[in-house]
Amino acid sequence: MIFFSILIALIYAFVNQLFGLILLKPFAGKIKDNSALATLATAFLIGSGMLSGIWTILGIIGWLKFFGILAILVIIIIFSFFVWKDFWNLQKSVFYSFLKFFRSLSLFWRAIFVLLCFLLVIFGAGAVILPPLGDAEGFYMVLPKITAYLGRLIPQPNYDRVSQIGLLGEMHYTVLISLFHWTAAKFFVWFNVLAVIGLIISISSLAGLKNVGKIIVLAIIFTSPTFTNFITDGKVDIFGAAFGLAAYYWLLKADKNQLIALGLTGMFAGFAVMAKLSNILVIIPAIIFVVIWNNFHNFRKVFRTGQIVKKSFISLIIIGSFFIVVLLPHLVKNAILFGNPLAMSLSINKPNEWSKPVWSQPNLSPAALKVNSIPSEPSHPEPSHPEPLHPEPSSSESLHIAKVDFPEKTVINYEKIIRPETVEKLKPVLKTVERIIYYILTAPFAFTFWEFPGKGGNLSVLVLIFLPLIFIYRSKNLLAKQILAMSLSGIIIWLIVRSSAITPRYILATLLLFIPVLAYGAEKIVLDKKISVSKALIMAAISLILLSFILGNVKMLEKFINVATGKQNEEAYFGPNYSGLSYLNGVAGRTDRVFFLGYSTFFMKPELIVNMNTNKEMLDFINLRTDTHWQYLLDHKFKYIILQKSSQLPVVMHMQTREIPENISIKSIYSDANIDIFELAYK
Amino acid sequence: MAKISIIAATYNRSKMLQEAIKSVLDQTYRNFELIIVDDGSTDDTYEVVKSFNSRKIKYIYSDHLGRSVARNKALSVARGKYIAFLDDDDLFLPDKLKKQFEYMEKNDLDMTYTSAFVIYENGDLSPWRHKATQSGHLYSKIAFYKPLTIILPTVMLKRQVVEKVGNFDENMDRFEDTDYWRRVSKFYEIYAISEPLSKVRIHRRNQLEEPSRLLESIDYYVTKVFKEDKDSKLFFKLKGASNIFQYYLGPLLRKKKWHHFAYYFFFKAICYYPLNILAIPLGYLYRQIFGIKETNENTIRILFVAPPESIHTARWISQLADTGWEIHLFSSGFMSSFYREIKNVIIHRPWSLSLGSKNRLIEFKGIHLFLNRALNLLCIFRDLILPNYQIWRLNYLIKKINPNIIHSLEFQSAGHLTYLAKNLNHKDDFPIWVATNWGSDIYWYARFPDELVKIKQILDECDFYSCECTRDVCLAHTYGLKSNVLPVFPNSGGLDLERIEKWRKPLLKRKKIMLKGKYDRWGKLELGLEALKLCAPFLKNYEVVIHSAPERSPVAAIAKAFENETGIKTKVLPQNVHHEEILKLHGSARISIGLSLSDAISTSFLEALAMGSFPIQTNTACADEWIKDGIGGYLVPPENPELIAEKIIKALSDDKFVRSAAESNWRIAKKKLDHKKLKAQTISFYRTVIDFFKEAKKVDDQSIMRNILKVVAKIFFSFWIIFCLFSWLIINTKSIPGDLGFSGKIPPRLEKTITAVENYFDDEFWVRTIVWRTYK
Repeated sequence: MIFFSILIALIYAFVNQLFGLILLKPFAGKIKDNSALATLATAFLIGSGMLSGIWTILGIIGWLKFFGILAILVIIIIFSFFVWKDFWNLQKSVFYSFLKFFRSLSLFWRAIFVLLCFLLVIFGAGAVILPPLGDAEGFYMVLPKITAYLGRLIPQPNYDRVSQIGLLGEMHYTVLISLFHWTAAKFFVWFNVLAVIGLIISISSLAGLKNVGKIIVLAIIFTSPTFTNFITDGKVDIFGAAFGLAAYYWLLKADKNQLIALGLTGMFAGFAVMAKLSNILVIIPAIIFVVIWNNFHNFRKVFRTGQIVKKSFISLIIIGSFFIVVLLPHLVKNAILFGNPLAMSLSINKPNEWSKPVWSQPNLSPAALKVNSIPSEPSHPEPSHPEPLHPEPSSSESLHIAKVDFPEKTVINYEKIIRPETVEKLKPVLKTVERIIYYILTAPFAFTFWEFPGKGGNLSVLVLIFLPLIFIYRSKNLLAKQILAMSLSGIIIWLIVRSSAITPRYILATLLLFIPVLAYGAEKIVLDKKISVSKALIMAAISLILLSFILGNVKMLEKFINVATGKQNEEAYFGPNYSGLSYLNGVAGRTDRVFFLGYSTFFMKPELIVNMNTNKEMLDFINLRTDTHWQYLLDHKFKYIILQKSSQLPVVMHMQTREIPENISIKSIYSDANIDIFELAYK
Repeated sequence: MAKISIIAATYNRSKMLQEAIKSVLDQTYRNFELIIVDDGSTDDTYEVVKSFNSRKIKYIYSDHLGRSVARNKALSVARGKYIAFLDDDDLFLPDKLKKQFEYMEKNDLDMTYTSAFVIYENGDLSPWRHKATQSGHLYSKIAFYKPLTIILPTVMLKRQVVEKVGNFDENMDRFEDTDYWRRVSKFYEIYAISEPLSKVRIHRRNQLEEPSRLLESIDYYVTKVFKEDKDSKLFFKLKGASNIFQYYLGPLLRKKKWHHFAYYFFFKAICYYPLNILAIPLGYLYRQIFGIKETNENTIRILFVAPPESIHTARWISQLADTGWEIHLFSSGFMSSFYREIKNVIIHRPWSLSLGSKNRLIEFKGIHLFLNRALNLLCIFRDLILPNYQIWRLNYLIKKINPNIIHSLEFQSAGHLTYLAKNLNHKDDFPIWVATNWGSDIYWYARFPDELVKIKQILDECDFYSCECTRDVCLAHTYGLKSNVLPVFPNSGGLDLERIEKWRKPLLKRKKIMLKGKYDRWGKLELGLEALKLCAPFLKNYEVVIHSAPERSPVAAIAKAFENETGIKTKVLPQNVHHEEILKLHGSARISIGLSLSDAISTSFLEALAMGSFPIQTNTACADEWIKDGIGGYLVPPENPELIAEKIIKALSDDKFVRSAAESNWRIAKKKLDHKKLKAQTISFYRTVIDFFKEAKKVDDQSIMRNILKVVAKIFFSFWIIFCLFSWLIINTKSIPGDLGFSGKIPPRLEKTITAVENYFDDEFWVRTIVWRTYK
C-alpha cells in the first residue's frame, strides 16, 4: 500500500504542477527570466492553492466525492497537453542546474549535500510510514477524514472552529483520502517540502548566497525540528510555510512593480493566510513595507513623495485584489457554513478555544473542576443523530485557565532618571516596553531551545550559532537587506503581538526567510581561503548536527524498509491509539455513539467520529451530580466510553469517583497501556 | 681606464654565462671592464668567452677553489672606480650600469643595490621580485640575512670600499655575500635604487639540496658574527641567529626527508631565542589584525586577462613595459598556444598538452589544425569534468598575486571569464576590474541573446569600462553600464609619428591600393575586390596590396583570380610581415580600403590616416569619430560595391581632394595618434583607476580598529559556536531518540560533565532566567 500511496501522491502532485503551469502559461513571457526551480515551485503552489479553492467549493456543494475529484483531475490532465513541453524544459533546466551546482562544490560540501538528500529521503519515508501525531491525530487529519467520508464540507461537532480556519492543506488531505488512503495524504506534504526547498534556494540566490551558502541554508532547515516534524506528523504548517515563502519570493521580484510579480505576491499571501492564519500578522506588514521601500528606492533620485505614494498605493491595490480573490472560496465557505465570512479571523486572539476540544486543556484538574462546577440541572437528553451537532460557544466558559503574571516591578529603576510621579504614570508603558525588549532579547533562545506543549519543535541550533554573524557580515545587496528587514520585522511583530506564544510553526515562513541572511555570514567565513578556527568550527558544527539528526531519524527509513520488504505490517507503526481504536471499529456499529475521553480520534471509523460526543455533552457529564451522570450517558445513547489514559488522567480520576448504579453495567472490553474501552448498557 | 669593473665568477655554466656576458656587453654605459674568473670549469666556458672577442673582457682561469676565492682574484685585478658584481646565471638589464653609476656619482654614494626581476631557468619572468626599498645604516637589517637580503648582481660599490672592508671570506661557500655586505654596512651607508635593473635566476635544483652543508654554513656565519661584531647587542645577535635558523625551517619542512634537519633547525632557533616560539603565532595574529601582506604594497600590480595571441593585447600591454609595475597576463582561452612577445610581463600559461617545437600542421579534408592545438582539444574533456577549472585558476592567481587591478581585454572570453571568477570569489575582496571591449564585442555580439546576457553581466559587474569609440560607450550604457567609463582612445598604442613621417611619400609616387584582407564573418575582402573590378580601367598603373589576410585562407587564390581577370597587379602580404613594412606600404599607397560588417576603430584605418593614404572605410566601424565623410576620407556602407567603386574613382581622380584629406588626417594623427601621448594616456588611464583604489584603500586604512574588532568578533564567534553546541548537546541528549541515536548511552565522561554543568546551572534557574519565559 505504501508504494501506491507514494504513486497516488506523486500523480496528484504532478497534476497540481500541471494545473499551475496551465495557469501561468499566459504569463510565461513575463516570468521567463525567473529561475527554473522557482518557476516550478511557483507553478506547483499556484496549482495547489487553486485546486484547494476548487475542492472547497466542491465540498460546500457536496460533490467532493471520488468521481467528482477524479473528473477534475482528468480535465486538468487533458488540458495540460500544451504545458508538457514547458514542464519538461523546466525539469531539464533544473536537472542541469543541479549538476552544475553539484560540480561546483568541494568534496566536503558534496558530502554535506548528499547527507541532506539522504535526510530528505528519510523524511519522505517518515511521511509515508508514520501515523498522524499530536494535533494532526486530534483534528488536522480528522476533519479531512470526516469530509472525505461525507463527501461534503459541513461543520462538525468538536471541529466547527477548526472548519472556520482556512482549509488549504486539509482539502488536499481530504482529496487524497477520498482517492486512496491517508498515507498518500500525508506524503503529499513532502512535495510541499520540495517547493519550500526550491523557493528557499531561489531566495538565497536573491540574497547573494553562493552554492555553499545554499547548502548551509538547507542544513539549517533540515536540522530544525519545527520544520522537519511537520513533514512526518500530518500537520499543515508546511503548506503555510511554502505559500508564505512564495509570497516573499515574488515580493522580492516585484521591485519594478511588475504586474505579474505583484499579482503572484498577493495570491501567495492569500494562500499563506488561508493555510496558516497567523501568517497574516507577519506577511502583510512585510508586503506593505517592501512595496513602499521599492518605490522609494526607484524614485529616490527624484525624490517625489507623491509618486512614491501613488505607485505604492497602486501596487498595494493590485496585491490586495489578488489576495482577496484567492481567499474567496474560504470566505464563501465561512459565509455559507457559519454565516460569517470572517468567522475565524474575528476570534484570532482565542487560540485555545478552537485549536483543541475544551476537555483537553492541560490545566484542567479535578480541583479546578470542583471549584468551577456548575450547579446541577436536570439533564436534557438529546437523541443520537448522524448529523453533526452545533455546540454552544459559551460552553467553554466554565474552564479555569491558569494565569501567570509577569513581575510587577520594572527592571530598571526609573526613579533615578525620571520623576517618581511620571514613572508611576508611565509604569504600564515602561513595563510593556521592558517586556518586549525581554522577549526580543531572549527570542533566539526561546526559538531554539526547550520544549513546551504545543510548541511543535525548535529552530536548528545552527540558527543560534550563526546569529552573531549578521552583525559582522551583511550583504550590501538591496534584496538581501529587504529579506533581513522582512524577516526581522516579522519576528518582532510576532513577539509583540503574540508575545506569550513563541511557537516557531506559527510564523514558519518568516523564520525560514531569516535563514539565508544567517547563512550569508557563515558562507563568507567558510569560503574564505584562509584556514581559520571559526571556519573549522562551522564545518564541524554543521556536520555534527546533521549527523546527529540523521542518526536520530534514520529509524523512519528502517521502518519504511521493513514495511516495503514485507518484514513488518505497516499497522505496527500506526502508534499507540491504533490497536484500541481499530478494535472498537470492529465491534461498534455504524450508528453507535462513542463517549471519547481523549484527544486523538483519528483512527476511529469516520462514522463513529461523526457521532461522537459533543463538547457540551462532555461538560455536562463532568459537571453533573454523581448519581445521574451514567444515566446521562445512556440517555444520550452512548454505547462506548473510550479513555485515552495519558492525556486524560484527571478525567479518569474524576470518573473513578462516581459510583455505578445497579441497573447499569459498564464492561471493560479492551485495555492496553494507552486506551481503555468500556461498553455501557442497561442490565 | 674603465670606470666600472664588473666581476663575474663562473663554474661550468657556459650557456648561461653566454647570456650573462651578452647582457653586460649590451649595456648602454660603455666605460666598463668585465673580469671573468673561471673557477676551474671543465666545460666550454673558455670558448664561450673567447667567442665574444671583446676587449672589455678579462678572462682569468683558476683551479676550483670556490667562488669567494674567484671573486677575490677578480677584485685584485679590478681597476675601475666602481665595482659591480655578476653571477654567471644572472643578467643585467641594458641600463643597469648607466643608471646605477649616474645615481652613485650624482649623490656620491659608496654602495648601492637595486631591485631585480626574478627569472626561472628558462628565462621566463617569475611573479616574485627582489625589492630594494631600504637605505641608510642597514647593519641591523642585513647582518642576519633577513629581513633584508641584498642580491649580488644588484650591487655596485666604490673600490675604496673594497679596499677598506677587504676581500670575501674564502672559508665561506655560502652567505659570503651577506657577510660582505654586513662588513660594508658597519662602515658605510647603503642606498637602494627601487627600479629593477637586473634579472636574478632561480633554479629548480633547490639550494637546500644539502642541508647539512647549509647547517655548517649558518653555524660558521653565526659564530663569525658573534666573534667579529662585539659592539652589537647580544640580544640582537641571539635573535638574528634564531631568525636565520627559523627562516630555513619552512623549506626544510616541505620535504619529508629533511624533517629531521627541520627539527634540528627548530631546536637551534629556540636555543638562540626561546621567545621565537611565541613570535610565530603572535606575528600571525599581528598580520591578521593589521592586514600586513608579504608583498610590497607600493608596487602596482595589474593582472591582464586577455587572449595572449592577439596583437592588440601585445600592443596595449607593451606600453606599460617600463613603468616598473608588476604586469601579469592570464590567458583567457585554453586554446591559445601562441603567445606574443611582450616585455616585462609575467605570463601565467594554462595547463595544456604540448609537443613543443613539433607543432606540425595537420591537414585533413580541408581542415587545418596545428598538432599542439589539436592536443589542446583534450582540454575540452577537462572542462567537461571540471567546468570551473579556468575560473578556479584565475581565482587562485588573484589570491596569489593580489593585483590592484584586473583588466580584461575583450568581452566574450576574457570579460566573461573574469565575471565568473568575480562571482565565484567574494565580490568584496575582488580587485578593481577594468573591462575593455574590442571591436565587435558589443556592437555585433549584442544581437545574439546568449551573448547579450553575458555583455549585460559584465557591464553590470565591472568597476571601470573602457573601449575605443564613443559608439560603444553609448551601447554599453544602453545595456546597463553603471560603472565609471575611462577615457576613449585607441588601444593600439599609437605610432611614432616622428619616425614614420619620413615614410610618407608624395602623392604622385603613391601607386598602391591597400586593401584589408580580412576574410571572415565580418571582413568583406570580396566586396573590395568587386569594387576594384568595377573601376579596373582607372587602376592600370596601380598595384593592389592585400594585407592582414588570415593564414591558410583562400585569399591568395581569390587575389590571383582577381589579377587574372583584371590584369591589375595584386600582392597578398603574408601574416608575419613586420608592422613597419605595412606602415611603409600605407605610406606609398594612394588609397587604403577597409571593409567589414562590424568593428570599433580599425587599426589599419588609423595607420592609413597617419601615413597619408586616402581611407575608404565602412561606416559600421567608428571611423566617423575620426574623420568627416568626404573630407578626410570616405565612409561607405558594407553592401554596395558600386558606391565603393564610385568613391575609389573619385579618390583616384581628384589629387587636390586627396592631398587636402591627407593634410587634415595628419593633423588628426598628430593630435590623437602620437605614441608618446597615447602611452601617457594609458598610464594616466591606470592612474585614474589606482587613485580610485587608493581612495578605497584610505577608507580601509582608517579601519584598523575595525580589523581589531573583526578579530575579536572571530574569537567571540568561535567561543559562541562551542557554547551553542555544548548547550545543544546538554539539552538534546535527553530528547534525541536513543540518546544521540548511537548506542543509547552517552560516554560516561561526557555524562559527568553534563551533570556537573546541569548542577551548576540549575534547570529551573536556567529556564527562568536565561532561556525561557513564562508560558500561558
